[in-house]
Amino acid sequence: MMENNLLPLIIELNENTDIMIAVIRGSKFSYVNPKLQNDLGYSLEELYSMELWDIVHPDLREMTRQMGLARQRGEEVQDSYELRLLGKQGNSFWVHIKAKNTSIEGETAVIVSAFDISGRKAIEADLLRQKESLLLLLENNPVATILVDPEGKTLYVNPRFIEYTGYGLEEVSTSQVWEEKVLAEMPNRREIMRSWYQNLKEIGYSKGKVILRRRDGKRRFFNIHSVALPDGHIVLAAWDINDQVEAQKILQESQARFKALSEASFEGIIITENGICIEANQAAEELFGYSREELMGLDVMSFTALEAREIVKSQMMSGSQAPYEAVVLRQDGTRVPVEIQARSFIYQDREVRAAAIRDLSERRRAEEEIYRQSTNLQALFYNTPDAVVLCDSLHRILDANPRFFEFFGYSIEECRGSILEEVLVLEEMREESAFMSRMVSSGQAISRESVRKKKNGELLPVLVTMIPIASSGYYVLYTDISERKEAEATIQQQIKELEAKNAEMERFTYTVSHDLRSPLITIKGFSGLLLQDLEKGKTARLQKDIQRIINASGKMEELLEDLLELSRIGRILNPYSNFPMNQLCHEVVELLSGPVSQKKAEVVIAPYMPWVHGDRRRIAEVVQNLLENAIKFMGDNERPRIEIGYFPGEGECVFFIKDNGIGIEAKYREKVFGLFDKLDQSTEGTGIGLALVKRIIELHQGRIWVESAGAGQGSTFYFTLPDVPDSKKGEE
Amino acid sequence: MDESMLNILLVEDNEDHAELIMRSLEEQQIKSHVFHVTDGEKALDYLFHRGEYSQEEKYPRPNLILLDLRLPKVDGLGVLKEIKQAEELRIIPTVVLTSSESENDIYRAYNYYANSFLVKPMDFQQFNELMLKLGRYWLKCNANPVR
Repeated sequence: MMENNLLPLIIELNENTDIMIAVIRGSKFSYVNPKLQNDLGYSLEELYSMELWDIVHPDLREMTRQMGLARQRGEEVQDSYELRLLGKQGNSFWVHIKAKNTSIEGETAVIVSAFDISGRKAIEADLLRQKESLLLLLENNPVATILVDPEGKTLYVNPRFIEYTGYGLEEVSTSQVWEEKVLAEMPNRREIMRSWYQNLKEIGYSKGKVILRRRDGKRRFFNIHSVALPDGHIVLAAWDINDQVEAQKILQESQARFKALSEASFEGIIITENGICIEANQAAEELFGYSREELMGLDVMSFTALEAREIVKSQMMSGSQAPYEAVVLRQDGTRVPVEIQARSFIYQDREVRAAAIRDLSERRRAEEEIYRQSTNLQALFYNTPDAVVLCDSLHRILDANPRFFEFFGYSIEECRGSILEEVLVLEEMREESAFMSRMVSSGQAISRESVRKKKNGELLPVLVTMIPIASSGYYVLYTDISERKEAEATIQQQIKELEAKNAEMERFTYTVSHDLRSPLITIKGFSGLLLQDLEKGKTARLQKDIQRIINASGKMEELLEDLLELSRIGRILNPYSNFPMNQLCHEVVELLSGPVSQKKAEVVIAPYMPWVHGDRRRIAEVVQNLLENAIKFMGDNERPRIEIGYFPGEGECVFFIKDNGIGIEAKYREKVFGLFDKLDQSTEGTGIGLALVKRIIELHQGRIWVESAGAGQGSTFYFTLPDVPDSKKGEE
Repeated sequence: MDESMLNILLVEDNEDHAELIMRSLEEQQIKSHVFHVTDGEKALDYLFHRGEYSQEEKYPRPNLILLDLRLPKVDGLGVLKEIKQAEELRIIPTVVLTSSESENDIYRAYNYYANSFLVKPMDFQQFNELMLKLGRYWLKCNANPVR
């Protein structure tokens, strides 16, 4: 029992405490402190009249009544419990109650103290709610979630985890299972797990990418984040990133492909976004003179030449894909003409524009070169000394230079479109021309000397050169070779003359070495013999031997004169003239009338003979020599007859002198024309006559030969002289 | 026919030269008998016993032929060619005796198997010496196939 003087203080405390205090007798309040009364909102009268469970929340009222009844019965009941009270205004609040049985004045009573626990209750409810929603969240989380205790035991996996991996909680409960099964695809899993825990311990979280082997054996990429809770538990969140990884891989590959492609490209490729360069290939680096890093983030305009900015801008704005030309500025300030073809598209959710930029400077240079060349070519075409024709592949004339007109008389207007062959080529030369056309059509240049026909029908000797051109068709060049041809002919003629002279020279030296020596041997030999005979006093042969010496001297003189004469023929020619052959023959016959009448020979001169062109005196010598020969070798024919005649040959006049004398055997027919060759040693002369004749005829580009049926059959000497063009006839 | 004697066929169109040769041989006392013809055709006729030379006994085969090159009708080279092509004649030593010094003639003569090529000396003494040597050589030094 407390001291009585403390009682007022206790009462005071009772009245002012925040603890609710009540004393209960039976089922009624016998005391209620102001706090309780206040919180419930009832008056004291009301409270004392009420059953004590009336202030309990209906949910708990029955339970409280039973407890109260039990307590009254003296049964053992709970001393401390929580109860929800209901105020007069319908307000309810939770209290923590402590009840203690006591006795007042011998009567059982209960002292009840209570304090408001509504705040705590609300927090508790809140927590519960939170927990429930968390669980709900976990259960429905699209992220696989795992809870692991500090010992590494898996406490919880959410349905998503099961769905993702196929494993249930029981199957992944220990870290050993994780290591052996779930992470089996990762060869370095042990280290990974160790560093994982390390991170959790040190910084409280850990994250990374792992490969999980699913229950069905498939491997999937997962991203895992984990957090260490204060109590050492670990929450892991894992989500399948396999599709993402695959997509990433595909993306990477395609990026690599783009890169490879664009690096391989000769064109500069840049990708821009809003006019800012975000990617560039190597060719672009080279083209702009910037490194790729420098290009990145650079405004396109900064490497676009001023005058090209407008077009570049408008192209970018319109998204046009058509190629266009512009000028870019290199870092060093050089201007480069380019062709740009760009295209806008969506790339990784960004609207970008890829531009292929081709350096045109080479092409420009080439174009300029082509222009220069074509100008040169044109100059050549118009100024070359050759006639030049351009034909298409069907051999039609497309163009011809002014020289063509000069050469052939056709202007380009009148022959354009005509078949070249039909214009210029003679009928009989079509085969050759067609051959050349075939060659040039097969792409082969061909050059040939030929003849082409002028408009007026004249022929022009030309060197025809056909040159195929790459596109199609060909050029034909005609080089006038008439002068060259003439020169060639002249040279040929000169060569012939030289050869003739050479042969003559040879014959001459032979003559000197043989024929001139011959009489000398005689002279010296017989002089020696004369001396011997004189020494011995022999005189019988003197006269004869002296005669031999005289004869040999005479012969020698004769030879020397003939040689002189022969050498004159080659050197001294009288001027050529035109003269009628007929007249000449009559003159010669007149000259030889003596010997002719002596032999009683009949000489017949053909009534018609043409004019000839040559050295009249020499030709007269020819006729005279042949006539003398005919008379000399007349033999013993009783009616000697000599016929001088003519017939036309091919481009030449053929004259003949025919006799019915002794004739010449076939084997000697060439020999008779040799220098100092004589068939019969006993005849007069040195044998120079026919050699001389041959020489003169050859100098006139003629031929000479003899025909004879044989000994006693007579002979015919033929000689030819070139035809005289009609235009030259009558000229003296 | 005397085997110790040169039976010469002299083919020479120049009468004076033929006379010179014969007199020289005589002067040098070369035992020889000379048959002289004046052109190539006659030479071949003689050798083949043709025409006027058909009597073999009268025109015996020579054991030496002296052949000039420049001859009327058939020239010396023509004669030489025929001789060397005829089996019965080609063994007869054939000496070209000419006034030509032409290399061409020398070459062609040997090309037709001439046995020797002699140029007629212009000097009288040399002419005599050559004839002496020629006679001695073919008569004494040389073993002659034609007996």
